[in-house]
Amino acid sequence: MKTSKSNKNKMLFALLAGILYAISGLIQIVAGFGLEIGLTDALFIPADIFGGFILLVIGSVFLFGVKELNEGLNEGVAYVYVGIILALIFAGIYVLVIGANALEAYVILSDDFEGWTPLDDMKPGIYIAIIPLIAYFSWKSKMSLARGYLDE
Amino acid sequence: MVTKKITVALAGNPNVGKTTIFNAITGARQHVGNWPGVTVEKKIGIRNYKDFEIEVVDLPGTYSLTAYSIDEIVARDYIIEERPDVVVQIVDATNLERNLYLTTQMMELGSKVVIALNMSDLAEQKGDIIFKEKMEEFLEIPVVKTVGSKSIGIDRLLDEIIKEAVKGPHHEHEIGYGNKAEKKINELENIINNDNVLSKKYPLRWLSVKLLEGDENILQKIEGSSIAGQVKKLLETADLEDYEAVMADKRYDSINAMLPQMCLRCVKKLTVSDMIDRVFTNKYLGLPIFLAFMWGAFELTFTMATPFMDLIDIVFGWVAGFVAEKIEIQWLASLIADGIIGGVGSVLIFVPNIFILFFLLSILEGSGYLARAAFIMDKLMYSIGLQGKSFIPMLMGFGCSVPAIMATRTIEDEKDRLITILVTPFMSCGARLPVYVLLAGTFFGKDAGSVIFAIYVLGILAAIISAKLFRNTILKGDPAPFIMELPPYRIPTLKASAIHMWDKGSMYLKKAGTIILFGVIFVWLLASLPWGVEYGSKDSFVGVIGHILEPLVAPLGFDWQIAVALIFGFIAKEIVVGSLGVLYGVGEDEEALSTSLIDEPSIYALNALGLMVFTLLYMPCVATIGVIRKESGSWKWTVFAIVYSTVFAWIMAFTIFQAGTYLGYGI
Repeated sequence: MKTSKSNKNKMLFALLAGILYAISGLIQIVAGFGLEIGLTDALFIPADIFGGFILLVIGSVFLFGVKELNEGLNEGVAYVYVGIILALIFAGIYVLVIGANALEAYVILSDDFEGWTPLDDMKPGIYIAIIPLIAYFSWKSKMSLARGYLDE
Repeated sequence: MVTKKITVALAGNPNVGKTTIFNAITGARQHVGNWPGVTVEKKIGIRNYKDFEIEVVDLPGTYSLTAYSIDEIVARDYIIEERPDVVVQIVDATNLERNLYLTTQMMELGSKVVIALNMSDLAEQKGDIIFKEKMEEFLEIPVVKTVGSKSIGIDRLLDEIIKEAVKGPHHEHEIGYGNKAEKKINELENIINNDNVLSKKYPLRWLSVKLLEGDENILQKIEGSSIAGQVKKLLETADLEDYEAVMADKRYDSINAMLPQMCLRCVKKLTVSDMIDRVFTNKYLGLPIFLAFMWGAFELTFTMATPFMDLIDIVFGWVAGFVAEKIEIQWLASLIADGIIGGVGSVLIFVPNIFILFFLLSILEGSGYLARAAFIMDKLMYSIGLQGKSFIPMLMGFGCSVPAIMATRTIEDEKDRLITILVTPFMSCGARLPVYVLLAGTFFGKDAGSVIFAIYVLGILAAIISAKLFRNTILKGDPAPFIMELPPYRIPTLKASAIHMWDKGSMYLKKAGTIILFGVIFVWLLASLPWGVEYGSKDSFVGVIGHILEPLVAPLGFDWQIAVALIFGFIAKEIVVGSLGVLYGVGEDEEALSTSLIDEPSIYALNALGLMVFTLLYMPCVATIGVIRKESGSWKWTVFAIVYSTVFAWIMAFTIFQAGTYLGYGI
């Protein structure tokens, strides 16, 4: 089956997002096992196995979408939309975690958070989510639970 | 040579190719008559296949199994009363939605069902892509693609029939009808269960569903039974027409949720809800996504709760200090400050955790996701003797056993629920983590992370082993059928989630709070009496008890101080660390405690490991015990939970210490 132009755009987006999330997740998992990889500090990649697993899951959802769209299945966009939703949910969780830690550092003045800055909790799950965020605003109408249909 | 006879009933909608399948199976060996008492044609055929003689009974074609036509009554009476070994439902692959309505009713009959997906060649020509595996996964029924007119798939169908006929009890999925109807069904099941004849003759749930639908034929069947009066009384309070409509809607809701996943192109438009399900119930992604959500919920719960916990800690610490300073009578100051405020505070500190976790779970439930999560986990849980719905409470147990046990309310079957309640405390709750962090950090250095991970895994294994053990001994039977509800996804409202959170969370405050208050006063008394002794010292009652218990814990490599710390852990597990601090004279400074433990000759890596395992497995904290009592409604099971877990913990710690000592890992 031939892939439509609109689906081609979604496929390219999913490929980019999928690769970014999957690679970031893998690096985070590897770092979590104590293996040093260059650029982890510069890219704010924490040594966090579970966090890496989350990114890997989001990346896999996008890449599943690429696979189906590449096979000409319109239904593959489901993976792209759900990947976007997952990416934004987890970015939201990470931002809330920063908020909670900011409370500890600046309001409760907890000893454990002495010298803490929001950058300490910055991670790929937050900044890569800018890409799905842009995609969300582009395809928002198709992702509404109230009126969204896959009719392409 | 024929060694076994199998009876097979062929069911299905009219014009789905039932007769062609019947002919393809039986060939010329058929005879035709009438069903007893009615002028409906009855066809029976015989087929010898492999080592089996298969008798095939062709049931009248029906769209459903209500009592609106004689055909429907004949078909369902045969399945229920004659109990064929296997029922084969012939499904028209070109019209899945209509045919699956009958399937949803077949699922309730308690028979072994095999679906023959007939005319699958026509469906494929039409462009429909049917995922057989997905159908099997959703319906928990084997599916065989057939083309009756060309005898394609008949041998595979016969193989599947034999496989089903000879296999033991099977897992079932059934349609859920929503809270209101399920409550009534449950009440009816409890009433019917009291009648030995009816409960043995009919599947309880099916009979209850039919009664609630106002099925006249079924009402006649229970007439004259011992429970007829009770049933009628209950049904008088219900609008049966309304229930019938609601249940039909729920069946179609489930079909509409499953259909887009089972078949591409079978629905004209894929809704966003269908798209989400396509990903969330994906064979490879469903479980990782579920784990990701759960991790997210816990991460958010514990991080968001921490500032509030710190605030509660500060407030309780300040109030306790203020009270201790202002009250001159020393014992009263100690009772209020150390006992009531300190004790209750140490439990109330978890309120933010509980409220946030319940809020997040309310969001997941309100969105429709938790129903899918239970479905995703069902197969895995069935293998350990539980059902999908048991997974959520067990997972919540990693946070806190109290809300986890309260969450078992979603499990309808009493035995399933009780087993889940009993094994959930083995999942290592957050309160136990400080104990592991202290001991693993002190004695296992760089391997601390791996040791803590192993402790968590041990907790899961203990839960699995115990669930299997209970299922095969004291709570025998198969897990109840999985009641599948697949509501459309919705954006949950903040108000509904907040109300749900408050309903569940306030229950913790009310019920557990009263038990905790009595518990902490009791332990304070033990630690303070006789008057004048140092709080929790060896001369206090708790110290005396510690010495009395020492012989019991000595085979585990523990001394009296550890015994005392474990008693304190009964209030809340994290108190074990604080108690050790007090008992080793270093207060609550964890670094000083770590150094003190290293210098303490009676504690070393091996018994520290045993202590971690004991802390993981031994009796639940007082709040959990209170909730077990409340939720199980029985002191017998509450005492059982305490005794079983403590004995289990003792055996495990004993094995670790004795085997380790034997292997030279002792001092």
